[in-house]
Amino acid sequence: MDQQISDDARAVHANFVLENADENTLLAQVLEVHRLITSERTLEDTKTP
Amino acid sequence: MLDFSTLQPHLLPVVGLTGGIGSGKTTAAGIFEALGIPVYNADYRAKTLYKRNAALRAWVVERFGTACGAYQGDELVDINRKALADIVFSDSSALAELNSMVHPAVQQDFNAWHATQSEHAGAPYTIREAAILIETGGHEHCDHLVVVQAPHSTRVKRATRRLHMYESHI
Repeated sequence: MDQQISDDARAVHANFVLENADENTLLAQVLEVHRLITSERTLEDTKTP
Repeated sequence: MLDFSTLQPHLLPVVGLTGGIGSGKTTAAGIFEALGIPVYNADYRAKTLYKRNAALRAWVVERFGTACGAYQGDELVDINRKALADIVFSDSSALAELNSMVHPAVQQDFNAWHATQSEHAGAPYTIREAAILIETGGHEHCDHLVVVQAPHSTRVKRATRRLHMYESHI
């Protein structure tokens, strides 16, 4: 773990933070991130140049 | 007339995925993979990099000694990780020097993988999973960054369970 920075230091750079204290909630969080990223992509793809 | 030689291939967005040991980032990566998203596991790729990159293993042996090489006959085919780890994990400047060679090689390996996925995978983005992504500056090459967090006690429990280690070794 010596080379790794802290969770707080990582979070500063994050667009999305998944809280995985309980693995039962991870699936829903990942699905939401996927939805947000792909919907952003869809918006970009449909922009008129 | 269009000059096609100047056109860059269309590259998919890159989503970085990182977190401490035992945070659950590999579980998260598995979910992304199940959604059809190509996942680059940097830790696994780095482990196989020495086998695939002759210049890198030649540099390691030249810098850290022939004991750090793994040979078939006279041919240097891989790295003796234990011998290398014994050297670099007891000498921070040696570790920094090794990292300065390995991290760009991993970045180059990722770029090649990502270009292939962009051309053939048909996915909306790719995932770059790494335990040390921000630490190596790799996050600067990502369009989005996902960080997986878990309480320290949970991470230690998961890591000890997975690695069969004592908590003091984590």
